[in-house]
Amino acid sequence: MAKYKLLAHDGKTVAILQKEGLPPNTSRSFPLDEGNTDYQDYLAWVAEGNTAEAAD
Amino acid sequence: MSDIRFEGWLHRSGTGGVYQDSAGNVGIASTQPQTRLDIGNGGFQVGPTGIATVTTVNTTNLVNATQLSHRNIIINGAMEVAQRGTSSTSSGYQTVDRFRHSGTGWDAALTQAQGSVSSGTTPYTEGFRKTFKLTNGNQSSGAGAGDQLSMSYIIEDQDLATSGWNYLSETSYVTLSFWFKSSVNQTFYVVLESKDGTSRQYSFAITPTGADTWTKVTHTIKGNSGLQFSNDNGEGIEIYFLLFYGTNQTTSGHTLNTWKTTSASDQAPDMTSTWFTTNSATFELTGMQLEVGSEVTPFEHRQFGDEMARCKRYYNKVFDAEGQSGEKPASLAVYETNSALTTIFNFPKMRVVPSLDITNGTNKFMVRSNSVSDHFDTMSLRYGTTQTAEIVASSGVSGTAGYGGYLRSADTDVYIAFSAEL
Repeated sequence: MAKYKLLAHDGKTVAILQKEGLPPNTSRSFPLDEGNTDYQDYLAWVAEGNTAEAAD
Repeated sequence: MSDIRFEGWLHRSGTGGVYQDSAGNVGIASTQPQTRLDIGNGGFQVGPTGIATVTTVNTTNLVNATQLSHRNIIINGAMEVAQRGTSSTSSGYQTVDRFRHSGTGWDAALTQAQGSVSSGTTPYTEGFRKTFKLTNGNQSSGAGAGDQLSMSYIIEDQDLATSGWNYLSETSYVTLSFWFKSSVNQTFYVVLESKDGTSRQYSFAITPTGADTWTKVTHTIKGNSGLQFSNDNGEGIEIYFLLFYGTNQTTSGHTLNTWKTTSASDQAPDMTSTWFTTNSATFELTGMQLEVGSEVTPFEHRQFGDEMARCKRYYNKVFDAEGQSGEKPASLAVYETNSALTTIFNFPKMRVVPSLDITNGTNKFMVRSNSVSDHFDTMSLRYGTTQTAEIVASSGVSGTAGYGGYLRSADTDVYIAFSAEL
């Protein structure tokens, strides 16, 4: 299972859902914003060769 | 002209006068001057470095090189604000706002918490009531070369760039002060790491006066021509409190008290692992202040509401059920086909477009519309700005498109928060 899942609206990826590494009973989703540290972590994860789960 | 040599000039009555001792200290109405200049037995003293100690200053105009307010660059240095919660076994930002713990190589999770300062201690009498506290787990396999454990705080770039610290000059200073307490009496290290351009680190040692004894640390740090801080919302300096770094990150010949280019393998002197290998060892921090200048000033206590507002630039809990049962209003909602969405406004503007952190569990939320209630588990971010966020529930809802409704919490632990932390 991928650590991240893409979230789409009107056919475009608009945000990313983090699926692992969270405190219990917590959901985290974050924007495609380069200043956002969660997005920075995601980009580093992708740079390591990983791929997020596709959007529904 | 010849010298005039004297030990004292007395008034002709034989009382009062000017005195000089063999060390060159001069007293006015002080027969035994304790400093370079001593007036009235300690009422006004000037020491050898030119620092004046005065009992009371009454003045019409006061020109002060140190700013009188907003001196403390650290937000929430008294550890009063803890929007996320007061205890967690997760790492990262989980309890006290703006402070986190991080690392790698643990056998057992540590507990981070918003601790309390005991009455009767010196931090308490100076107005401190809360701490950022770490309690160790059982690191059963001992300390490894690659293990890391730290607490840290990140200063935003522009808060340094516009602080007034001429950080490129070695004759311009900032002073870091804080209280700390450790259940293990050993030496720890504090590391400041600049983030812009070529990263630089500055390290110094701290040792408590005893186990479980509050110790005040004051350390002055000079500028360096290699430092770089952009006037933007990125990372400026991260201040680490190293509880343990293994030898992959340290060297025996490490040089303290100077800026140097950051080296992952030379961040501090080799550390003793006593704290790290002591189950339930504790480390607490409070009263953290970083100010421009070479002299420490008293901690700048700020009102809770002021500090909360500053914290909300980085983390903003916009809804909290606060342990109350029953349905609580969270926001307005609008139905799309098979989804409910709402727009939330963040005040103040956040540092960057934030992440959504939200409760996730069975039937934690409900949306009520057209006399129908749908329960659902969580929501996710769709679109956001630094001040607005559109969040959506796209599972577990079945309303009719175009209807308005109410979004409500349906459990005691429900929250909605936005994070734009550094």
